[in-house]
Amino acid sequence: MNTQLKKGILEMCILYVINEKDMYGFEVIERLAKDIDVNENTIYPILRRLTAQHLFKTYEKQTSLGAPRKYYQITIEGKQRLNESLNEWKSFLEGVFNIVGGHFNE
Amino acid sequence: MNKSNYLKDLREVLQSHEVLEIDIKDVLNDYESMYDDALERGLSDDDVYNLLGDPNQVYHELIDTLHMKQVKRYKHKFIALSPFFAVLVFMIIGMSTDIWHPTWLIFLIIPITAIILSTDKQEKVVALSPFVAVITFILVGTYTNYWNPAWLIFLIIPITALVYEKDTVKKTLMIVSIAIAIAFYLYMGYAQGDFMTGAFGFLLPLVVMLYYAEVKFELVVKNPLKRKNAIIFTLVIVGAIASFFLLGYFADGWVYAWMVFLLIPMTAIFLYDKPRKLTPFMPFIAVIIFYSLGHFFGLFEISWIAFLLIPVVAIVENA
Repeated sequence: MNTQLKKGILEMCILYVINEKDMYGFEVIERLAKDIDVNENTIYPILRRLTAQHLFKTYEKQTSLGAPRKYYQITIEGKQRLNESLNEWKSFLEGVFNIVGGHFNE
Repeated sequence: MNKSNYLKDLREVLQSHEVLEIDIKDVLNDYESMYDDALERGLSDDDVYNLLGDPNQVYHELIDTLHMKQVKRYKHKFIALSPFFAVLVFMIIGMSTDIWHPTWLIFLIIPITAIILSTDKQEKVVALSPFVAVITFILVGTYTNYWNPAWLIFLIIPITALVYEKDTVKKTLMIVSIAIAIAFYLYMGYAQGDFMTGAFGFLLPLVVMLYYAEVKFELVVKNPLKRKNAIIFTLVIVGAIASFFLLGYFADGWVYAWMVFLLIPMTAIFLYDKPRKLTPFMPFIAVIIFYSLGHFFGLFEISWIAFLLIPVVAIVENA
């Protein structure tokens, strides 16, 4: 798959899973890796970029291991971006299914 | 590779690209935390490496979120002044001695200045090696007319790159095999009067290179992206070797066929460093243009202009 397209989709997925609950870096990788091939360091750079764009904010939480973990939390802007991305994605998929057949499940 | 080595490599890559210390600390903290989490889940060091990625690749993925140190202005001033300085020296020496060739070599000071002031220590030595080779080749060729075997000096390019190879056995084998190939080439050429057969000695370093390419291929075979890169890289090496011997044997092109080997470091840069610009390739492209115009059309006196492409492309791409 085209790298830029894949990054765009991963970005939406990351926004989606962190919208469900605050997560730390490896937890995001682990969650996405269950369903998508997320090898090759793509997740952390996206997390960092989205944080720089103020779509996430971070906070630290103490762990039983000692060192605090950095958690990512979606912001208002992040939620807006997620909604936009989901709408674009659904509309794109509908268009693709109209062409090649199949249907979109809401 | 274990956690501390991974983090050390990542730090070195970020430092070599002049990333601000505050960003380096932030990224390293995050990677350390992810590494710990991965180990805690029972992943091996190799699994974690595959998941987090090669440090060079990490840098390229992170580049738009990092802040770089301001490059000192004096460096740009020196680079900008080097063309004027070169023209001045060229005109003074040329007009006072009428020795325009090989005085034109002074123009190589322009890309050399840019390389010395703009690259890191390791890249600097490797990037300067083509210029040392060209200068030596032209001076030896011009004043002794021994263009062959003067072209052998271009072998310092792969040898210089090997100096920084971490695998001591590989480094030793490669350098020794190149030395044996050179000795065989010279022996066959001068003692037996048969340079063509002597050129077959270069099969030895190529076999060693292929062996290590194969080992690397084996190591990365589990990773789809690395496997693809390894296949492409191996094909380029095999293609370069085949082209070298086909050109040499059927077209008697031993003196210029070596240029196909420049495709190997260019491919390595393209596949593993993933540059977004043409600048890293320009020293190699310039050598190819320079030597091709000089050798095929007898234009060594003006083909040096090809080296001006290096700063020109760098300026255009960084403007």
